[in-house]
Amino acid sequence: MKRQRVAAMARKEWWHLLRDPRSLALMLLMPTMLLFLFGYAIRLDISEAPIGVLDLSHSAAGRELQARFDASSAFAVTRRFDHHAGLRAALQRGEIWGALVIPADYSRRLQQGGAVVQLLLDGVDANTARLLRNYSELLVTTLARERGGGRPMLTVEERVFYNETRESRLAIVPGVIALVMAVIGALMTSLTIAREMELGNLVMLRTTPLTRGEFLLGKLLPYFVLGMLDLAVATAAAVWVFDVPLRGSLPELVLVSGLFLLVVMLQGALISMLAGNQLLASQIALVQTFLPAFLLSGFVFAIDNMPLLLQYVTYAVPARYFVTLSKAIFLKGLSPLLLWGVSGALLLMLLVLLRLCHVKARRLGLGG
Amino acid sequence: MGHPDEPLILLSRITFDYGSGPVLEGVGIGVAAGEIYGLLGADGAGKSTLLRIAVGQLQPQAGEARVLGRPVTAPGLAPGLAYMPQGFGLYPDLSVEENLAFFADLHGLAADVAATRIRDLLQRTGMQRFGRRRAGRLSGGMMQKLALACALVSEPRAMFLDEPTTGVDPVSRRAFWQLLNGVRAEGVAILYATANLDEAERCDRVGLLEGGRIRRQGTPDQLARVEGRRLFTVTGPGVRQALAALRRLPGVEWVFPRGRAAVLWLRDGSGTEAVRHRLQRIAPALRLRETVPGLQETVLWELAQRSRDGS
Repeated sequence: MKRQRVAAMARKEWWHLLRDPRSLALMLLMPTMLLFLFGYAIRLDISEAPIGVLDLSHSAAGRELQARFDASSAFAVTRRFDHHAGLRAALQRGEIWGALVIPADYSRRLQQGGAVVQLLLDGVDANTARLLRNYSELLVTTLARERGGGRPMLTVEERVFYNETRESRLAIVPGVIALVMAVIGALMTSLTIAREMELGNLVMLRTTPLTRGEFLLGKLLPYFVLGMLDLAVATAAAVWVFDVPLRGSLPELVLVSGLFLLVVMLQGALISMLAGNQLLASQIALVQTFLPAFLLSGFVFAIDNMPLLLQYVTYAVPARYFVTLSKAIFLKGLSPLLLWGVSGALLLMLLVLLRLCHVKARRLGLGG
Repeated sequence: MGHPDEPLILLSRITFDYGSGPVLEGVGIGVAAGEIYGLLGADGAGKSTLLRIAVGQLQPQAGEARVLGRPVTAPGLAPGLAYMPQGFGLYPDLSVEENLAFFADLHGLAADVAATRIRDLLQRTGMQRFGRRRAGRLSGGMMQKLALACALVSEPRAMFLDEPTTGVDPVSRRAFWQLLNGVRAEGVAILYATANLDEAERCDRVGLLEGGRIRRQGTPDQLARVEGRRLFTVTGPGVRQALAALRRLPGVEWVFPRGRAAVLWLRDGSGTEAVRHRLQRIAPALRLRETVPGLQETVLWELAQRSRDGS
C-alpha cells in the first residue's frame, strides 16, 4: 500500500466534500439536528400531566391521596369533579389526560387493607397513557407501603435502571449518538463509490496502479475524520447540554465509537459498490442503517420486548452493539472490555465487512 | 518480454462472448510505436469490449492481449498504458490542475516531476489559463482535452481511446487531433475506437470491425480502393431529382446523394462515355467526373452492399 496514492484519494474526497455544500451540511448539521430532535422530542417520562380527581369518599385519606398526586412533579391536579359526567366530559375534550376516582368506601377499605382507586385514562396517546399508569401505580403503591397495613393495590413495574432521575434523555442521548454515527457513516460513504461509478471514472482508475486497499482507505479516511468530529460534537452536547453523565472512560468511548464508525462506513461502501448509483445507494443506506439503528438497536424499544424472530434480526444490526456499549460507558461507567461479547461482535462485523468490501472491489476490477 | 519487433499493442485471435452470442470472433490487431490505429465500427460493433480486453478489464474466452511486450494482466504494466473510456467524466468539482495532480499521484510521480509534467500538459493542451477552473465548467472539447491530458500524465507508451470526441464540436475535435498527433510523434502506440469515418481517415491504419470480425484493415487509402470499381460524382441542376434514373444507368453499382451532388460507383469496364451519353439524355446540364474514393464512400458502399446481400 502506497501512502501517496491513499493520500491522493483521500485529498480528492476532501475536495468533493468541501465543494459540495449539501454533503458538508449533511455531515455537520445532521448530527446536531438529530441529537437535539431526539434529545428533546422523544420523552419516555411525563411532567405536570394535567389530571382530574373525583373524590367520592370526602375523607381525610382521600384528600391525602389527592395531595400525593398534586405534590408529584409528574402530575398536576387541574380539575376536581363532583360527578362522573363532568369528569368524562373533561377527559373527552382533552382538558385532562387522566382522572383519579376515589370511591366512597375508600377510607373504610383502606383501614381493612383492601382499598381500590380507579384511574381513568385518555387512551388516544397510548404511550402517555402507559406512562400515566406507571406513575400512578408507583405513587399509590408507595402510599400503601407507607401505611404499612395495606397490601399494594396495583402492581408496579420498575421501568428505568441506571437512570436515577428517571429522565428518559439520559438513556436516549447515548443511543442518539449511535443513530447519528450510523446514518452519517453509512449514508455518506454509500454515495462516494457510487459517484465514481456514475461518472464512469472507476473504469479509468482500474488502469492506474491504485490498489483496492488504497482505494477503500483513501475513500473512507475523510469520512472517518468527519464522523469522529461528529462524535466529539455529539458527546460534548450530551455532557454539557443534556447533562448526561460520562461515567466511563473517554478514550474507551472514542475507541468503541471508532470501531462502530468503521463498521457502518464499510456497510455504506459495500452498499455503494452493490448499488452502483447514488440515488439507489442512499436509499438502501437509509433503510439499512437508519431504520434498524432506530427501531432494532434497543435505542428506543427494548429488544427483550420484541418478537423472538425480530430479536434474532437485531444481532445483525451493528447499532445494537454500539447502543449497549455507549450506554454502558456513559451511564454505568463500564469498560467495553467487560462487555467483551458485545465488543467482539462489533469487531467480527468489521472483519466480515472488510472482507466483503475487498471481494466486491476486486469484482469491480480494482487491482491489488 | 516479447520479440523486439512485436507491436506495442498486440491483440491476437480475440474471441469474446457476454453469454448471448459472440461479440468478437478471432480479432487480431497490432499497433506499432508512433502509430494510430483506428478501430472503426458502428455502435454495438464491439469496439468498447475489445478495448476493455486490451487494457485487461475483460478476459477473452480465447486469444491473447499483449501490451508493451507483456500479457496485459502482468503486474506493473499500469504506468505504461493509458485508457480513456467512453463517457469518462473526470471530477467536475476538481479544478483542471487538481484533476491532473490526482492522476499524477496515483501514478506515484514525485511532486517536482508532477508539477513539471502538469505545466507541460497544460501548455500542450492550450489550457494554461484554465488551470484553476473547475472541470465541470469547461466546454465539451476542453473537457476531452483534459481527459486526454489526465491519461498522458504517466507518459504512457500505449494508449486506448474509446470514442473520445463523441459530442465534441468540429473545431474542438480538430484541436484534439492536433494534440493526439503530437502524442503519436512521441512514439506512443494509440488504439482509437471510433464510429466516425472522418476520424478514421486521420488514423495511420484502420480496421473495420463488423459482426465481431475485422472485415478489412489497412491504411485509409488502401481501404478506400475497391478492386474493379470506380467512383464518379454527378453535379448540375436537378441532380437530386435524377437519382432514380441514375440508379438505372448501365454498370452503376450504387448511387447516393451528397450535398448538391450524387456519388456513384461504376463497375470497371462500363463505358464511361456511354454513361455520360445516357446522362445527357436524363438531364443535359448534368456533369460526370471521376473522383478519388475516400474511406467514407468506400465504407458506406461496402456496408450497403452487405446490407443488400444480407451478410
